[in-house]
Amino acid sequence: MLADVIAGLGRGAQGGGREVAEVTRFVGATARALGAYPATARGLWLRNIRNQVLFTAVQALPFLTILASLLGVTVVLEAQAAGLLEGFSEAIGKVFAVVVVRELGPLVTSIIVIGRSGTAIAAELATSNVLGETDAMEANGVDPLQYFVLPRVVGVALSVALLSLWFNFLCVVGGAAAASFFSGITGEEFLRSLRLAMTLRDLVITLLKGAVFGAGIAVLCSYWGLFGGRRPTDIPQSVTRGVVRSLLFTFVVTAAFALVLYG
Amino acid sequence: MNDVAVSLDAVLPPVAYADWSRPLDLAVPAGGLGLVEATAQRAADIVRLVAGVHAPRAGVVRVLGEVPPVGDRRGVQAFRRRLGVALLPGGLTSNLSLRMNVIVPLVYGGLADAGEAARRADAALAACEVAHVGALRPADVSLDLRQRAALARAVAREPELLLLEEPFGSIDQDDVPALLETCRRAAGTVLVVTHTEDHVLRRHAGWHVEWENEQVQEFTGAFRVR
Repeated sequence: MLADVIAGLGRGAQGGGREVAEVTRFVGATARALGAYPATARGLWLRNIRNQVLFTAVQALPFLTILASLLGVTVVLEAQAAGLLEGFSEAIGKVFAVVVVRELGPLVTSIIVIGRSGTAIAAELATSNVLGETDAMEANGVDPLQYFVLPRVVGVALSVALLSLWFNFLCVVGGAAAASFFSGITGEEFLRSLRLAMTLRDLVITLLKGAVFGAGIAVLCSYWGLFGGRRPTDIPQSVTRGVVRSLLFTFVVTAAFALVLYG
Repeated sequence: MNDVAVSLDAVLPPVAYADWSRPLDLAVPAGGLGLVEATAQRAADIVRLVAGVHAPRAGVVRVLGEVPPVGDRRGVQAFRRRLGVALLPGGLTSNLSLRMNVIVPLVYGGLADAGEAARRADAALAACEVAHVGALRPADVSLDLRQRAALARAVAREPELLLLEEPFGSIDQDDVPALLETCRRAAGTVLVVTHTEDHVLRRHAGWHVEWENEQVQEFTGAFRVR
């Protein structure tokens, strides 16, 4: 019984290690494909990146705006309930700088992008694979990494970085409005408190985290879309695997950033 | 010029199955139009082995004087620049218009810049009588038009070897001779692989071979087969 459990754990670890190695090879091949990008395809490459930014960033703005504003209000109400807003203090600024700007902004943005665009990427590529579209493209001299994967990686990385900034901005606006409405702290005081707690480094880290999260989401969802199997029943499984791996990646990288920067 | 465009020497398919258990030898002469008739699985395997999409389990495939490269992505791309391929089930990318389905492989294969690719795509779509629906996506047109677009995509590459799998299954038989002529003009060698007995194709092919139950039932022309 115990031996079975240990054997099962061993098999799981072996499978996980193999998957990490395969994804690492996939990342390497994708990076090499960037170096060999055909000069004739530059115009289309820029168009594909623009389309990806449109789907991932621009079309997500209304949803993200509502969520970010509500989160800002929620954080202020929680802070008030904890007694952090009695009289002016630096506490509210610190709460926003640490909880929202450094951590929640990129993290929540990534979760939204995984739900909207990660699923779309994995489903689209898995369907193309099942229908023989990727085979046909490949047979006609198109490298799937150059056509299907690279524009998505660049487009989603750019989108998550910019959306994270937008998310933080709206969270702060929502928080400032809630603070002045519920606790009598003026918007000016709220922003002064935030300025004291934040540095330019926080914004740079937000952008960097967003770019890393975005690239990881696109790589993992593309990988599972392209290599998740060739039967129609493999499509939903590819989507699930892409989403679960992307979530895991996002949380692991969040912890790694915290360890390196603040540990 | 090499007098053999494609050779399969003692080749076994990637996955074993009853219909193809013995090693296959086949030499396809360069130039002209040849027809291979076989069961659907064997036809699909032959065309994918020649295109380098699959590697054989045993034996050697040579295409235009080289073994289709595996693994080396640049080598694969360089090899496939020499081919035009239309595979079943058409394989048109569903989120691109028919016209973009022709343009994308030209620019991503490094065969033409955007302007030249557009010119070649328009000419190929017109030759395959599908230019009038070039702006539509595959799901918005009939199977007949999709098959013509897949043919246009292969023809636009002006390849040394045009490799077609069941290319006219949904197309009116009266239109086949004109499309075959378009293929012949575009490519040095045309190899059509089909799993149905097609008398129009046989009439226009320089040679043909028919397999059934692992036996050559009928062949014509100057090529080697076992």
